[in-house]
Amino acid sequence: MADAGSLAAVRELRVEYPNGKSAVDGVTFTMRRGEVAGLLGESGCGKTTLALALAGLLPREARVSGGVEFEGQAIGGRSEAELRALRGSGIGFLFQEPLGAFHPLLNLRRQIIEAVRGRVERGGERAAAEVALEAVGLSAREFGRAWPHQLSGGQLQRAQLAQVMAARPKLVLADEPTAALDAGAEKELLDLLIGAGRGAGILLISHEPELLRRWAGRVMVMYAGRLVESGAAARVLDEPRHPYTAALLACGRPAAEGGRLAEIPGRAPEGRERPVGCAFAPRCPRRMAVCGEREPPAVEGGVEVSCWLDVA
Amino acid sequence: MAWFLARRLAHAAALLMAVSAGTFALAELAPGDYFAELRTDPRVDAAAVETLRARYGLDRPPLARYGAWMAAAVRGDLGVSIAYNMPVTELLRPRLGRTLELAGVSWVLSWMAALGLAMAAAMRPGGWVDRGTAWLVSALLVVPELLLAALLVLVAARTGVPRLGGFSLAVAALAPGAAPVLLRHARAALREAAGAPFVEAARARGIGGGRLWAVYIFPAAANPMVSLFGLSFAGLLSGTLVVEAVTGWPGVGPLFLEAIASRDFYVIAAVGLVAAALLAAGNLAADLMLYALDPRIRRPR
Ligand SMILES: Nc1ncnc2c1ncn2[C@@H]1O[C@H](COP(=O)(O)OP(=O)(O)OP(=O)(O)O)[C@@H](O)[C@H]1O
Ligand SMILES: [Mg+2]
Repeated sequence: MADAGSLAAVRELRVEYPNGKSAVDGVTFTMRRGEVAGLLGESGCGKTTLALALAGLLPREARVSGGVEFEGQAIGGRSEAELRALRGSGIGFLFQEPLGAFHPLLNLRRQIIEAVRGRVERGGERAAAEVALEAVGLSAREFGRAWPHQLSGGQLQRAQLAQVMAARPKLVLADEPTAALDAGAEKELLDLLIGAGRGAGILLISHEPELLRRWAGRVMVMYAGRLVESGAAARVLDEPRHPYTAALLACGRPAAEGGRLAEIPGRAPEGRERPVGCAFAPRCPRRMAVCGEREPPAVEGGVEVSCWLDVA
Repeated sequence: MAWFLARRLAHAAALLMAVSAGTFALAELAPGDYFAELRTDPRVDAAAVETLRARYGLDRPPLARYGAWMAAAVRGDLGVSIAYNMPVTELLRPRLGRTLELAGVSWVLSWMAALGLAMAAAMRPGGWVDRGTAWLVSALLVVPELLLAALLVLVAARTGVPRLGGFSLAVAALAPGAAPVLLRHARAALREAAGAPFVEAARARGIGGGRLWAVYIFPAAANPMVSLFGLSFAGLLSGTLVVEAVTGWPGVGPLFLEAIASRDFYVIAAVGLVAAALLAAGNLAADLMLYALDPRIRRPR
C-alpha cells in the first residue's frame, strides 16, 4: 500500500464458516484516513463478518483467505498481543446491540477505564473515561457509576461510543449501531460519531440507504458476500446502476399504490447454494442470458459496478 | 435492602417450618416408638410402659405434640433424648460442632479444587486439563461417597496408617464426592461467560489475557455459582451422615442413625430442624452474596 492516505485495505477477502457458508466471497476495497464509508446490504449479506475480519475478531473456526491490511501491515500475520494492541487504539468497534456490549456487573466508568488502560498516560485512565462520557453528553457524575441496565438504548450506544473513542482509534467499524434506536437517538448518535470521529476513518454499516445518504461520503453495496456497486454516496444512491441497488432503494420508498413498501422478490442465496453467474440474477428484473452463465467482473471499491448491463 | 432482606428472611422461615414439619411427620409415621419392644416383653407391665410413654409426651396426639415441641424449640429447647435421657440440645451441640467442622473443611477443599481445575479447563477448552478433568469427573460421579469412605477405611486399615484418623478419612471421602458436580458447573459457567457478547466486545477493545478472565469472565461466572454455595453445603451435610458412621467420626451422623433405629423421637425431629436451619442459612447467605454482587438485583432500574 504505497498510498499515504490509505488506512486499511481488504483484498480478495473470503470468509467461510464451518457450516460451509461463504459469508464474504471475494471483497476488495480501501479505506482512506478520515473518510466515512458506508456499507449497505440486506440482512445476512456478510456485513458483520467483513467488519469482524477487519478487526481480526473472527471466530477461530472461520476459514479466511485473501488479505486484510491496516496501515500497510497484514492483520493475518499479527500475534495475539499485537492484535490486542491494535484493537482499541487502532481499530474501534461499535456493536449493534446496546446491552450486549457491556458487562452487566461493572459500572460504565470502570468499563471505559478498562478499555483505555495502557492507551492513555498511566493514572489518567479515570479522567480520560470521564472526559469521554461528557463528550457524548453523558454527565460523568450521573452516569459514571451507573450500571448498563439502568440506561436506555440510546444512552448505552452513546456510552459505547465514548468507550470506543476514549482509546482514540484511527478506524471505527460501526456495525449498524443505530438499528435498535429510534430516529431521534439515531441522529444524536451518528452526529456524535461523525463529529467525535473527526480524523478517524469510519466504516458505517447499515441496511438503510437513507441513513448512508445522510452520513456517508462513499457507499459500497454488498450482496451475497460481494460488493456489487460502489462510489460516491450521492451518485450510487441517486443514480444506482446495479439493479440490486435500485431494488434496495425502491424498498425504502412507498410503492405507488397504497403506500406499501415494495419488496425485492425472492431471497438471497443461502448456504452453499451459490448460483452460477451473477448471484443476484435469479431475482433480477433485468437479467440477460449471460447473467446466469458467467460472473460479472468484480468491483474494486472505487466508482464501480459489477453487472453485465454495465459492461455492455 | 430492607425489603429484600425481609423477603429472604420470610422465605427462610417458611422453608424452616416446612422441613421441620416434614421431618416430624415422617418420624411420626414410622411404626412404633421407643418403647415398642418393651411392650412385647412379657416381663414388663403394660401400665408401666404407658407411664413411660406419658413421661415423654408420646401419648399425646401428634399435632399437639408438634405444637408443644415447636413452641419449646423457639425458646431453644429441642426436647429430651429418651435413649440418653438428656436434653437433645446438650446431646447435639458437641456433635454438631464436629459435623460442621467436617462438612466445612470438605466444602472449602472441594470448592478450591473445583474452581482451580475449572479455571484451567475453561481457559483451554479441549486441552489436556479439560479432557483430564472431564474424565475424572465422570469417574468420580459414579462412585458413591459411601463406597469411597468404605474403601478408604479398608485401605487405611490394611496399610496400617494409624495417623490417618477418622477426620481425614471422612474428608477424603466427602470432598471428592462433592467436587465433581461443582467442577462441572463451574466449568460450564465459565465457558458460558467466556462466550458472552460482552466478552467479545471487551476483546474488540483490546482487553485480553489475564485481565479479561479476572475482570470480565470470572465475575460473570461467579453469579450462577453462588447459588450453588449453599446447596453444595447442604449436600455435604447429608453426605456426612453415612460417611461419619463408616469412618467413625463422632458427629451427628452416627447419633442420627442410632436415633432412627431406636425411634428416639425428639432427636430425629431436632436433627431435621437443625438441618433445615442450616439449609435456610446457606440459602440466605447465597442470596445476600448475589445481592452484593449483582447490581441488577440491588438496583432494579
Ligand atoms: N459464527 C457463524 N457461524 C456460521 N455462520 C455464520 C456465523 N456468523 C454469521 N454466519 C452466516 O454468515 C452470513 C453473513 O452473516 P453476517 O452476520 O456477516 O451478515 P450481516 O450482513 O451482518 O447481517 P445482519 O444485517 O443481519 O447483521 C449469514 O448467512 C450468517 O448466517
Ligand atoms: Mg450484522
